[in-house]
Amino acid sequence: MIRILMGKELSEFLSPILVNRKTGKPRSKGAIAGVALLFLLIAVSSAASIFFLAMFFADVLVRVGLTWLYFAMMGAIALFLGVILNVFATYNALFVAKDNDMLISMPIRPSQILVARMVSLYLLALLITVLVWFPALIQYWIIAEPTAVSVVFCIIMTFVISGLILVLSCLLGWLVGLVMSKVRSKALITTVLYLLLFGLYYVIYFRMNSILQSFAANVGAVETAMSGKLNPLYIMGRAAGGDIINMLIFTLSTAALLAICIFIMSKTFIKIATSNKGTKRKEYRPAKNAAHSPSLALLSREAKRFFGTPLYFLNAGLGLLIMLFGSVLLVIKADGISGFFLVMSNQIPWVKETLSVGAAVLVIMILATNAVTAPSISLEGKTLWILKSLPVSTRSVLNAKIKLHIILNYVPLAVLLLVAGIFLGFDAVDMIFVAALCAVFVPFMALLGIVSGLKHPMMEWTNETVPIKQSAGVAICLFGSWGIAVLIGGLYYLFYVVLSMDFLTARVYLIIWTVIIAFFTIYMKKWTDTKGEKIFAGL
Amino acid sequence: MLRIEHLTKKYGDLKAVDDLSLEIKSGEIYGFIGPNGAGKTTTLKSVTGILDFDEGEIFIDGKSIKENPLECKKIFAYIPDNPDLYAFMTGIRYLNFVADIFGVSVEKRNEAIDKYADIFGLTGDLKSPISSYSHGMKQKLALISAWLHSPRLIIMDEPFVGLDPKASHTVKEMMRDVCNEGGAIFFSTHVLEVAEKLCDKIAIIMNGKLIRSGTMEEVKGDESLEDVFLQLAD
Repeated sequence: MIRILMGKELSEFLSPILVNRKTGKPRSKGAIAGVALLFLLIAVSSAASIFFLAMFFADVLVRVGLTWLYFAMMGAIALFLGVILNVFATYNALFVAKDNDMLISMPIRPSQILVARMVSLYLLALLITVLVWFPALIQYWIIAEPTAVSVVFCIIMTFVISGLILVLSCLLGWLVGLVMSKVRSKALITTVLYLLLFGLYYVIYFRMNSILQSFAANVGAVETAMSGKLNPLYIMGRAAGGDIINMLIFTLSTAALLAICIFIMSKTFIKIATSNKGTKRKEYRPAKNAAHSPSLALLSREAKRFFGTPLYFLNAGLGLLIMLFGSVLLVIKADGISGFFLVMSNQIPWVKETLSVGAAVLVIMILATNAVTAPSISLEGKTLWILKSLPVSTRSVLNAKIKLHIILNYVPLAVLLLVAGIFLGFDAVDMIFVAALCAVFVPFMALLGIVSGLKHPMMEWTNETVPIKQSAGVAICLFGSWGIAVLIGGLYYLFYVVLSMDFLTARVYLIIWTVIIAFFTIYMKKWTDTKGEKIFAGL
Repeated sequence: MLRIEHLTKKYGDLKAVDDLSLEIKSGEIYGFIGPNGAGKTTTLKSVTGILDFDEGEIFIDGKSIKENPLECKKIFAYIPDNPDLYAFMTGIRYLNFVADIFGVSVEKRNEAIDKYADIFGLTGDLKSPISSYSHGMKQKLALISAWLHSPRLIIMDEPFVGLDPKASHTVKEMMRDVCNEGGAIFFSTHVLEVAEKLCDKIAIIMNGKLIRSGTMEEVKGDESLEDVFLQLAD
C-alpha cells in the first residue's frame, strides 16, 4: 500500500519537471533538460551565497582545528533554512491535501498516508540540505584535505540532516495544524505565521554581518557552550567530522524522533485533516448594500481576492510590506544611512554621481517582487465562467487587474520616496528623476504580469500554490523585471565607471530608461487590448 | 427569445455539437436532455458566449451573441452545472458584485436578495465566506444571483443537482414565474421526470446532433419521456 501511495506522491513531486502543466502532456526530453537546467541554475546561485558563508566559518574554525564546530554551525544553518522553508509546505502537504477525504475513506492507516506524503517532503528537505551542506563540504575539503572515511561520513550526514529537517518541520507543521484545527480565521493565522517566519528570516539575514563578527570574537565561548556531550549540535558536528559513535547516536536519534513524530501525527491526523470550525455567523443587514459602477465592482473583486488569499498577498505583496517597513526604517536609521553614504561618497569617487541610479535600481528591485497581475489570470481558474457570462468586456476585466497593481504600489512607493527625499537629504531634482522611473515601472510591471499571465495561463488547478508560486507566467514576470533592474544598474556601471562616459549623467540616464520603460509599457498595453483580449476570451 | 441556427462546435477533429438548430420563445420552459458527453454543456456554453463556436449563429432577443456579446449578456443569466463561485467573497458580497455589474439599484437588489435568500433559507449565511458553503448553498447563491437582475432568459445546466427537495420545488416555481412574466428558460437535465412535468418543449441531443425536438406531446407521444429517451439511446 505504502509503495502505491509513495508512487503517487513522487509523480506529483516530479510533475513540474516531467509534465507541462499548461497542456497536461509529458515534456519532451529537451524540455525536461531545459527545466532541469533552470532548476540547476537557481540551485547553483543559491548555493553560491552559502559557499561564501562557509568560507567565513571555515577560516575561523577549521584552520584552528575546530572542525566539529564548523560542521555544527553549517548543519544548524541547514536545519534553520530547511525548517523555515518547509514548515508551511509540510502543513499543507500532510494535512490539507485535496485527496484527504478520498484516502481517509479507503482502508489505509493514517500512518501510511503520512509516511507516503513524507517521502516528497524528505526529498524537498534533501534538496535544501544539499544546497547548504555541499558548499560547506567543498569549502572544508579545500582547506582540510579529507580522508575517505570523513568524505563518506559527510555524505551520510547529508541524508541524516535531511531526516532531522523532516522531523522538525513535520512537528512544527503538526503544531500549525493543531492551531488551525482550533481556530475559525485560518487566513489570518496563516498570514500572521507567514509574516513571523519571514520576519525572523529577514532579521537574521540583515543582522548576519554583526552575528558573524560577534561569533568570530567569541569562538571560545561558543565552543564551551556547545561542547556538552548531550548537545545535538555537538553530536552532529562530531559525527560529520568522522566520529563513528556520534554518527551512530545522531543517526539513531533522528530515526527514533522520526518514528515518534509519525506516531504522534498519525494519532491526530484525521482530527486535523477533517477539522472544520465553521465560520462565525454575522447578521446580514440589507441597509448596508450599496451600488457601485461595474468598473469599481471589478476593481473591488480583484482587491478582495488579493487581500483575502493569504498565499497571493504574501507572495505578490511582500514588496509592498518591504517598502512600508523600509520607510519606517529609513526614518529611524536616517542618520546612520546618510553617514554611510557620505563615507562611501568620500572614499569612492563615482558613488555620489551614481547614487540616484543606485536608489532607482534598489526601489525597482523591490517593485519587481510585486507580481500582483501575473498570477491573477490563472487565479480565475474554474470561476472564469462568471466573468464570461456577465456583461463585462474583457478589457474592463484586465484593466481592473492593472489598476489594482498600480494603486497597491503607488501608495507605499510615494511614502518611500518622500521619506528617502526628506530624511536622507537626497537632492530634490534627483528624486524627481528617480520617482519618474519608478512611477513608470509600476504600470510596466503590471502589464508584464498581464502579458506573461496570458501567455502562460494555468486554469486547471486545484491548489492556489500552483498559479501563485509555480506558474511560468509569474517566474517570467519576476525574473524578467529583476533582470531589467540589474540591466539598468549594470549598464550604468559599465558606461559611467568602466568606460568613463562622464557626459552620461545620472539624470540623463534615468530619463533614457524612463522613456524606454514607458515605450514598452504602451506597447504591452496595446498588445493586451488587442491580442491579449482575444487570448483571455479564448481561455 | 433564443434562436440557435446550425450551431457547430469542434474540439480538434471531434464535433461536440453538429449543426444544431433550436428556437425558444417567450413563455417557454425548454428542456435539453441527452446522455453524458452528448454536447449539452457545450451548447449551453456556446449560447452564453463562454465558448466560441465554429459554425452557425446564436441570436438572443434578435441580437447575435458573436456580434453583440455584452448586449446579449444583459438579457440572460447563466447557472453552470457546478457553480464554482469566488471563495474569497462572502455570499452577500458576491450578490452585490453581480448586482453592480448589471447596474441593479440598491432598492431593487435589497428587495430581490431579501426575497430569494429567504425563500432558499440562505439569509443567515449571506455574510459567511463562500468557501464555507456546501454545494447546495453555492447552487442556491448562484440561483439568487441569476434572478437578481430580472433576466428575460435563464440558461441553466443541471440546476437541480445538489438542491434539497424544497429548494428544487421552489426553483421550479420560480422558473414558471419567469415564463409567466414573458421570459424563457433553457435548461439541461438528466432528471427525465422533472423534464416531463416541467417543460413546455424538449430537445434530445445525442453525439452532438439534435435527435428530436418539439412540444412534450410531439416528442414523447403516448409513451413516457424515459421510454422515448432509452429507445433513442439504444
